[in-house]
Amino acid sequence: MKAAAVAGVIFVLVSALLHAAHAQFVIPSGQVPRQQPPAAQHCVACHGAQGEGNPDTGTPRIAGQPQYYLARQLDSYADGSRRHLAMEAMAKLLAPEDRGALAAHYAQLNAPAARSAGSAPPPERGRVLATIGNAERRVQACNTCHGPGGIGEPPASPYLAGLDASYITAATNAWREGTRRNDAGQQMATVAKAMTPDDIAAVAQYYASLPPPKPWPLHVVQPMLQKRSMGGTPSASGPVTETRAKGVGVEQGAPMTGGTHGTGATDASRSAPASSSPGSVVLHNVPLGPGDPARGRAIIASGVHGCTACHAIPGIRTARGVVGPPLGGFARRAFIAGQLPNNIGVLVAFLQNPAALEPRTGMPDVGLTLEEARHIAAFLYTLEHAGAP
Amino acid sequence: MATRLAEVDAVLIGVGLVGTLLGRELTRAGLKVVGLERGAARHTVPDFQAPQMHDELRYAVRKALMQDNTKETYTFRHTVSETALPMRRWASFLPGTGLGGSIVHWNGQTFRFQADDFQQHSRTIERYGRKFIPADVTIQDWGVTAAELEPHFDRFEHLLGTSGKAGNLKGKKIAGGNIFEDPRSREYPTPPQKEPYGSAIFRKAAEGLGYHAYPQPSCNLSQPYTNPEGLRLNTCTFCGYCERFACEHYAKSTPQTVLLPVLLKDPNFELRTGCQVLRVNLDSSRTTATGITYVDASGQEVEQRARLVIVGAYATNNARLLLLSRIGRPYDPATGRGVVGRNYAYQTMSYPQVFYDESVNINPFMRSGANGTVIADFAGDNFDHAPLGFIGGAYIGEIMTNGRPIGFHPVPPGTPSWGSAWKQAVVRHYNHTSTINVHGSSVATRQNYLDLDPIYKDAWGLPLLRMTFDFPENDIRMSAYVTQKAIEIGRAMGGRQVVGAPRKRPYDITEYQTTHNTGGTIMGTDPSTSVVNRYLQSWDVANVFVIGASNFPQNASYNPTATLGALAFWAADAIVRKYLKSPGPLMSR
Repeated sequence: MKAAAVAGVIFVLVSALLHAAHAQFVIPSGQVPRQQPPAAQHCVACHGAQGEGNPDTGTPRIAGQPQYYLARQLDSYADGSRRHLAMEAMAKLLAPEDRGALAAHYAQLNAPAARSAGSAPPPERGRVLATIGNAERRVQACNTCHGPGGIGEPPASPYLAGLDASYITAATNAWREGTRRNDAGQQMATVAKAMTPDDIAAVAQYYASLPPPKPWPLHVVQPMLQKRSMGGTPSASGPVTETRAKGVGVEQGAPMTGGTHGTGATDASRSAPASSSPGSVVLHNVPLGPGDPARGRAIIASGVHGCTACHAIPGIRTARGVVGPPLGGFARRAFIAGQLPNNIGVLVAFLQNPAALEPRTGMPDVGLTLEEARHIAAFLYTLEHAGAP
Repeated sequence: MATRLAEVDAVLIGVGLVGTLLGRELTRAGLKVVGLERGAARHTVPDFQAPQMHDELRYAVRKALMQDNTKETYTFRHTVSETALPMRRWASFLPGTGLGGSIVHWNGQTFRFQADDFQQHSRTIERYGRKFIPADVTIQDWGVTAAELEPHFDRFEHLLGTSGKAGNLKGKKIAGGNIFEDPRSREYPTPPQKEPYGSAIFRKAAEGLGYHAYPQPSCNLSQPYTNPEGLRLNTCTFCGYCERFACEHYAKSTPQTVLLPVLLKDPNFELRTGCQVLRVNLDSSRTTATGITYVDASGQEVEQRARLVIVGAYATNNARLLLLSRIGRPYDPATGRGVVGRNYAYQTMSYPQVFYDESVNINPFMRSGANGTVIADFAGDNFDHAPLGFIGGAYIGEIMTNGRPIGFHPVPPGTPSWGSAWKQAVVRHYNHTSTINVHGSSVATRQNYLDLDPIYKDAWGLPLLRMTFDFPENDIRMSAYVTQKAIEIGRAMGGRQVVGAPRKRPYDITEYQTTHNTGGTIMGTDPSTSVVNRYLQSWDVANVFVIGASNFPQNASYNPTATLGALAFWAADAIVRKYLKSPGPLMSR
């Protein structure tokens, strides 16, 4: 059993290396954003053009992972505190500023979910471990650090939702076996050692069955970007113990308590310096102009996204749905989906990917673009109560 | 008609820190033990898990883990001339309830009291003369010494895995630890937690002024630790949700993480939750307890007979239970006679703040409940009180337990208390403010005490406990002196503004200060001035032991938990090694 697993890992490593060797000359056209740092050519063969990963080679999805987390992993591969034949070789080849630039690049990518996601029903045992924990083995719920629904708790905790099960298993085993030891408090090592192989497999399958989160929209973090000069990545600015997140005074996670998901914002905003050294990335700042309520109304009324099937919306005749809440008087609501603070940034993000912000919501991802979400949000905030004068 | 249950060897009133420690020691000695907890059973998994455990509104503001004061509260007044009124909302202190007790939601600050604290009365006379003690101050010696308690402190710290640095190892002073501490037999089980930035600034400033900075001993652990019970604790993640919250990470030492899993598996132990104990029952001679009476979760009255009764509830509730059971003579402030309710003391706190420019990022959210840097230069009798004219002192430290969004909004004086100017000031100062704790002692006085309220009753029809307290003049003077020292350190910390004021009268029960209520069932060697003897055994009823911070004759400069833990082990040792072999009074009256 163990020998087979080792053989499998070796196969994956070798094939990853081979892929990587060819990858430098195969840059898929059309899919890669124009800000892609040159160094990304090293990554695409295994991690995909948009960082979507490749379950066949056990290569994880990295799109939308926290920038700090990604930079730290690259640094760890370079210094040997995280072991992986191909990744160590890659990371050592990269200059520290390139590692930072790559982390910034992949942190903002929004790749489609991997093929295997959602293919099998998640095991109940995995759900229980992920959301409640195991008292007998003293294992806390994975979501405690990895966020509700496994969407991550930036900057340090990666999302697990939508990652390939074989990758989650391999990564957890690396903590168990001590080939990965790049967390300061040994939290993951302690947890992984307390889990059985069956526990790990169940948790991996559970998270693999969930949809991966989208990266945090930049306009949510825009105020912070404007106000504060953010530090660089671990690569760019030395040891982890340094205070990098200058001025970040938001709560770590805990969306239940009313923050706009705190340091998720921090993360995306921690861009590489604008003075472009080779390979650096200037993040594409999406302007947050006010949306157009009239266009928002038109988008809803068109019926393309199905809003009216579930919601009653004053002023739109066809909107009589009773599945979701009526949207009259929306601006005066304290919460979105009963959980999230009601403000424009959260609403726009929620409209684009509801489950990423509130995993238990019944609202589906109806495929809104950022522009559409902005217009719809603007429209929703104009709504009076149905019976209002 | 109460259901009568067959006699057991021992019954524990309260399954918090004391109940858990005693339960383990007594079952190990072969006794059949029943633990009665008025609250609910609760465990790290599934009850304490995030994100719900980080619900600041529920736990910090609405105080979900605290005693239900719609059923049972205290009444309060400042002086005997006032009529006490019930405390309808917890604010100045927060008594807990539920399995594991108040320590479930503690900050983890784990100091030992000093030798001079345990002998405050005699050492004060020895050093400064009898006249130095003000007429209304009723401080006493504890009847136990630091040297006697050392093995029990040591055992307690190693059970909890406390993270710290020794300052006195078997008499050898060690720079970087607390050089004022009494000799300890071993180093702390785990090294100190990481020093936060604000604490590092404090260290530099304090050392520059010639003081002796050291890392605060913490029970939010710095590294994984497996305790002598075989239970593993994890590393603290610095989430800032310690006090008022339970820890989801198995990183904070509590009964749930260090002992309960072992105790609950012991066939000699039975836990009953939802059991509100009404009284300890005595036989007709009133010198022996026959057991206790409680109301169970279904509202039925139950009499549990027991050969040994351990009263281990929250400090002030211990005093109330003795008063309700009529064990020991109630204290009368008019005559100064009687003992139960005597020498209630508190803690004298003040909190200077240092406001920085926006270039200095304190990151208050990235803390544990106990990873500050402190000095003990002004604690206890570590400095010459002769020219100062007061007793006691305070430790000073940069201790910021959290930067939680609802609770933490430091703004300088002069800021409007609401509106856009206030909001702007919060944004400006949130991450650029450091708080200094001045954690001061509290002397006992003749007029501060606990008794039963003549008017108000609890949900079971029993009189509430009445607290009569205001800060003694001695402590006001102590706070003025030490707070000024803290402000001087604050100025050396390089901020643009230092704001601070010493503690003043009147005691304000609407402002959170600390949950360190002490006294009411104090220990000693003289039955006319103490409720329990030096082994925490009732002078009046030999098979009743009362264990808690209620045993402290007065309160010292440090947080009480480690001393309470050491006392619990000390009493358990006396019960197992002396009392069980020959039940009866361990000291003659």
